[in-house]
Amino acid sequence: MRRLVVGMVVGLLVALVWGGTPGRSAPVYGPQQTIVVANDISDAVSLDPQLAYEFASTIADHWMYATLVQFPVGDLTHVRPEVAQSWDVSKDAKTYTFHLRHGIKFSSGNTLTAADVIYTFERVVNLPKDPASWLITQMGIDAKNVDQSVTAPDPYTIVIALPEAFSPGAFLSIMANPVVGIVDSKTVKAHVTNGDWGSAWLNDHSAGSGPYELVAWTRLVSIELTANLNYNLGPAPSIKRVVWPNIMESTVQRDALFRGDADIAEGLSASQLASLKGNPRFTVMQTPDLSMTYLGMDVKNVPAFTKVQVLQAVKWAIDYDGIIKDLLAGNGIPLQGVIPKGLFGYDPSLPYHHDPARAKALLQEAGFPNGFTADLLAGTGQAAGGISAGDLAAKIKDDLGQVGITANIRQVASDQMYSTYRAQKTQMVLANWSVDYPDPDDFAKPFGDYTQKSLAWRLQWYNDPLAKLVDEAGSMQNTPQRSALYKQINNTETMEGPFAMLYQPMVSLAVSDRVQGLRFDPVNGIDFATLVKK
Amino acid sequence: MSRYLARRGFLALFVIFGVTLITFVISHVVPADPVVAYLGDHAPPDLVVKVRAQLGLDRPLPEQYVIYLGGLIHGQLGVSIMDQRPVSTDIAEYLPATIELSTFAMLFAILIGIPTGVVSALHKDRWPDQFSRIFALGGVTLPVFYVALLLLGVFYFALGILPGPGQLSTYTAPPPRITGMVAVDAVLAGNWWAFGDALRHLVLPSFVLGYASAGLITRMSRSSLLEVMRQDYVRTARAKGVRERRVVIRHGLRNALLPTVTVIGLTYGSLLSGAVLTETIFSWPGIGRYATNSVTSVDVPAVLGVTLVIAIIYSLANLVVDVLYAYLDPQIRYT
Repeated sequence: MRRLVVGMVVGLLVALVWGGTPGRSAPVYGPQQTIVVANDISDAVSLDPQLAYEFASTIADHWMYATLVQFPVGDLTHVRPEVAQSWDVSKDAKTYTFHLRHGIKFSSGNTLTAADVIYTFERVVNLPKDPASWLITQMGIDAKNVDQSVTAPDPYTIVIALPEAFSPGAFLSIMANPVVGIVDSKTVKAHVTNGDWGSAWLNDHSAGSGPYELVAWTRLVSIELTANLNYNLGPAPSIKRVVWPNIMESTVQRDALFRGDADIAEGLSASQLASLKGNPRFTVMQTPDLSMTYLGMDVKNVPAFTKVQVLQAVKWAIDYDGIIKDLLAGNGIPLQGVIPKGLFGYDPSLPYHHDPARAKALLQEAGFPNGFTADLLAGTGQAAGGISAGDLAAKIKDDLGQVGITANIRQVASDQMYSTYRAQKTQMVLANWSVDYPDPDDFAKPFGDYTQKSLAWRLQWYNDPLAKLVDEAGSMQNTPQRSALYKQINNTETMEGPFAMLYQPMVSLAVSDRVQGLRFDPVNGIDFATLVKK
Repeated sequence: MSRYLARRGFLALFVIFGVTLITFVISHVVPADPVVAYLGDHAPPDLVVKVRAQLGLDRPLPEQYVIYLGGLIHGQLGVSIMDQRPVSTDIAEYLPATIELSTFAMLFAILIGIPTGVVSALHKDRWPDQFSRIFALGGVTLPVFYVALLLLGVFYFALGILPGPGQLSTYTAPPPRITGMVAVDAVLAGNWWAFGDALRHLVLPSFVLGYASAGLITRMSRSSLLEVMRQDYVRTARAKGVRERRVVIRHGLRNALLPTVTVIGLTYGSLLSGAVLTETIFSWPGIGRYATNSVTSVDVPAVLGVTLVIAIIYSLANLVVDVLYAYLDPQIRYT
C-alpha cells in the first residue's frame, strides 16, 4: 500500500516536471503574432452574427463579418465604405442604393455578391428568438416584406427601400452593426439543419469576409480567432491570432496580465486600474463609453415626483464629484444630458452641481419641507465603471438623506430589477443605458419618446411635445439644425425629465507594454488590425 | 442485495420526481422574467411578447410542466433559454470538467484529511493535535474564494510556479474531445505535453476544493480512530508484541476508516454538484457555473436539468456508500 502511494506520487511529480516545459502547440502562430485579451466572455450566447447581441459575441463577430459600411476607429460620427464602395440616398431618405465592391472574398474563398447581403437580411427577420432582430424590424422591415424591401437589381447592387421614414443617421449606423454582418450564403445554406438557417453551425465556424475567422468557441473557456487568409478588404493584420480566455474575476485578470499570460485586461475594477497608473510595464487606456448611469424617478408611483421642483431638487442633491473622484477613482466623466460624449448632439453643459441648500429650498417650494420616502431599486452586481451597484446606491442614499429624502435601498438580482422596471413598478431605480448603434437617436428615443415604450415610458413620463421633437430630430442628418434640436431636447430633459444622470463611465483597458499602437473605441472595441506586438 | 438495490432505485425515482416538481414551482414563482433575461433590457415589449410565445412560456403552468415531463420520459431535458441549446448538450459539456476537478479535489481531501486525522488521534491533546485541528478548521471556515485568490496570488502571481486560470495554457493545443476531461483526453490522444499542462492547471483548484472538504474527513477519522484504538483487540495486538505502526494501520485505521468512507462518499457527491466560486476564479467550465448562471437568469429548463442531474448524483452517491459499507463491514447485511 505504501509503495503504491509513493509510486503514484512520484509518477505525478514526473508528469508535472515533464509537462512543465513549454508545450508544443498546434496553432502555427507564436506569442509575437498572438493577442490575449482577458475578459469575462461568459455572456456570449451565439456567434451567429444575426443572433449575437452580447458584448463578447458582437465584438468577435465584428472581426469575422464585414458589413456594408463601417465606422473608422475613434470616429463614430461618419461611416466609411467597407463592402459597399459608395451609396446613394433618395430625397425622402427612404431608399438606399449600395454599390458593392467587386471581388471581395469570404474565408471560404467564395466571392461576395448581392445574394449574400439579401440572405443576411432574410436571416435577421426570420430567425426565431432573435434578440438583435429589433434593430432591423424597428425600421419596418420584417419577414413579410423583406423580399420587397431588400432587392438586388444586379449582383453588385443592393437596394433597401424602407417602408416607413427612419432616421438616415441611425440607418447607416445600424448598417455598420454586426447584426447585418454579411454571411457567405453558399456555405451557410450547405449547413442548415432542421430549418435553423445554419445557426448551430455558425457557433463553431465562421463564414464571413472580415480579417479573422473562428478557430473555436469553447463556452466558458475561450473564443479564439485566426487570420482569414482570404481577406482582401484591407491590409493583412500583423496579429494573426486573437484569444479571449474567459477570466471572470478581475483580480485573476490582473494576475494574468502581470504574469504575461494576458496582453490586455478589459475588466479591472476602478481601484485596480488606479493602482496600475504608476507602473512602467503597463498603460491604462481609457475612453468614454457610450453609456450612462442614471437615477430614474417614477413620476406617478411617487406623488412627490409629479412636481418638477422635486425632480430638480434630487439633481441638486447629488454629489457628482464625490461619485467620480472617490467611488470611481476617475473611471468616469460628468454627464447631465441624454447624449453621451463621442456622439453628435453631445452637450457638455452641466447645469447641476452638489448644492444641498438649493435642493432643500426647492423641496420646500414644492410642498415637501420635511422631505419624503421612496424605494430605491438597484441590482446586485456591478455598476458601470468598475464599482458595485450597492456602493453607488449607498452613496445616493446618503446624498438624498442630507436633503431630507429617505431612500430605502432594495437590491435584487438584475433580471428581477429589470422585470420590475419594465412593468412600470419602480419608485426610484439605479440603472445604466448603453449604445446599440452610434447615432444620437439611439439615446434620445428611449429617454425622450414615451411612445417607444422604453425608458421614459417605464417611468410613466409621457411628454408629447418632447416625443415629437425627438422624432423630428431623428429624421435629420447631422446638420446644424439637428444639433439645435438636440440642444433643445437635452435642455428639456435636464430641466423637466425624471432622469438624474450620474456619470458617463470610462471604458478602461490595462495594456502590457509589449503591445504597441493600440487604438480602440466603445463601439469597435480594440482595433486588432493595426496593433503590433513587440 | 439486488432486491435492496431495486427498492432503493424505485425510491430514488420518487425523490427525483419530487425535486423536479418543487424546482419547477419555485422557478415560476420567482419575480424575474427569463425572456427579458435572455433578450436583454433593450428589447422592445413587442419582441418580448413574440419570443415568449416562441419559447412556449405563455402557456398555463400545468401545461408547461406536463410538456416538460413528457420530454423527460423520452430522455429530453428541454432547451436552455440562455444558451438556445438542448440542456443535455450543455450538461454533457460541463459535467466532465466538474467530474475531473471533483475527483482530484477528493484525492487532495483524502491526502490532507486522513493523515491529519490520524496524527490528531495519535497525539491527542498535544500540539500536533491542536495544529491539525486548526488546519482542518481553516479549511472549513475560510471562504473558498479567499483561499483560492490567496493561493493564486502566492503561487501564480508572486512565485509563478503554478499556472493561472483555465484548464490549459493559451499556447497548448487542446486534445480532441473524447470524454470532456482534458487530462484524460490528453492521455487518450497520447499528447503528453497537454497532459502535463492539464495536471499543472488542476493542482491549485483541486487543492482549494480539497482543503475546503478535508475538514470533515479529518474530524471523522480522528474521532473514529480514537474510538477504535480504545478497543480490546488493539490492546490484544499490542500485548502480542505487534509493532505500533502495524497496530495503528492494520488494526486501528482499517476499522476506523469505515465511518470515514461514508463521509468521503457524501463529500464526493457534494463536490460533483459543482463548486461555483472555485470554477469562477479558476475559469473552470464546470456545472457549478452553469447552474448559477441558469438560476440568475431564471432559465427554467436549465435549472430543472441541473437539479435533476445533481439529484441523481446524490442518490447514486448515497447508494454507493451504503453498498460499500456492507462490503467493508461483514456485520452489516442488507435485505
